[in-house]
Amino acid sequence: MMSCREVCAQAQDYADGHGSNASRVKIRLHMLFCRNCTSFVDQTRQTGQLARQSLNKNSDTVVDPKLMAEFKKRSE
Amino acid sequence: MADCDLHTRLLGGDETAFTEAYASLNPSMVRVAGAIVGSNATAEEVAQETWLAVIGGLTKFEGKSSFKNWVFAILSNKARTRAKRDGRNVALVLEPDEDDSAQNTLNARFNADGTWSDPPALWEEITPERILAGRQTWQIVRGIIDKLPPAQQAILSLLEGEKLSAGEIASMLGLSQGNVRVHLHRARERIRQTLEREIAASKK
Repeated sequence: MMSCREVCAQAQDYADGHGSNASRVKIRLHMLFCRNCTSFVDQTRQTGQLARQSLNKNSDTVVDPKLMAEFKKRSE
Repeated sequence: MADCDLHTRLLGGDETAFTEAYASLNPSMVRVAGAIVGSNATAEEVAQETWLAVIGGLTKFEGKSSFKNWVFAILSNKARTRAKRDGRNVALVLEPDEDDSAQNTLNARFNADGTWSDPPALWEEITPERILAGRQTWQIVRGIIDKLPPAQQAILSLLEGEKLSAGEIASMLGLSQGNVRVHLHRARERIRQTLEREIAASKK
């Protein structure tokens, strides 16, 4: 059986759906009996989702007027 | 907005599409350029030059790659040219393995037999809008990302923000795919650890 340290080392690949079938099965099996690693993998998954959502929140960046003028000029 | 729709709308002179494209892509563009040129002010200039090239080259885009890929390829070329002109080494500065503080912190939480000595707590569902320490979670995460080493910021932005593949990022930044994944893992682990501290502090 994998150790908790080994499960954590592979947690990101597992959360991303990567890794061999054999290692994924071993991680799943470990998590059946280990609440701590289940929490860690869950934190890892949530972190990935939050990073994605945070980066996808459009900033209130305003287009530089010079760029917009250039864009309008091209469209004329 | 779908990639081909964006290009069609930009070709048609749709100013709203340009504003949306700029707001969506420019922060990642500045991060990627910053990792190559090494200065935020120069990175902003490179992003600006890239937009001018994109505007001027809209009719030349043939759709062989995605529009987003095309924009980042122009950016990466411009940033390399600029770095060379400024006398910088264009290879990305990667954090040495021994400086991986997040991994060291994590390693310290295990016993010698590989079991947890300091186990993680179960997070309740953390939504981007949840308030922690007076700020929404997504703002906290954005703040953590802004403090990551430049190469990690660039890789995270391209993979999580722009949804490019590890292979596309590797060829764009001149890294191996393995290196891309290592730095992505480090970035995410740093974010996880900072969030873990913030969440624990908010419960006190």
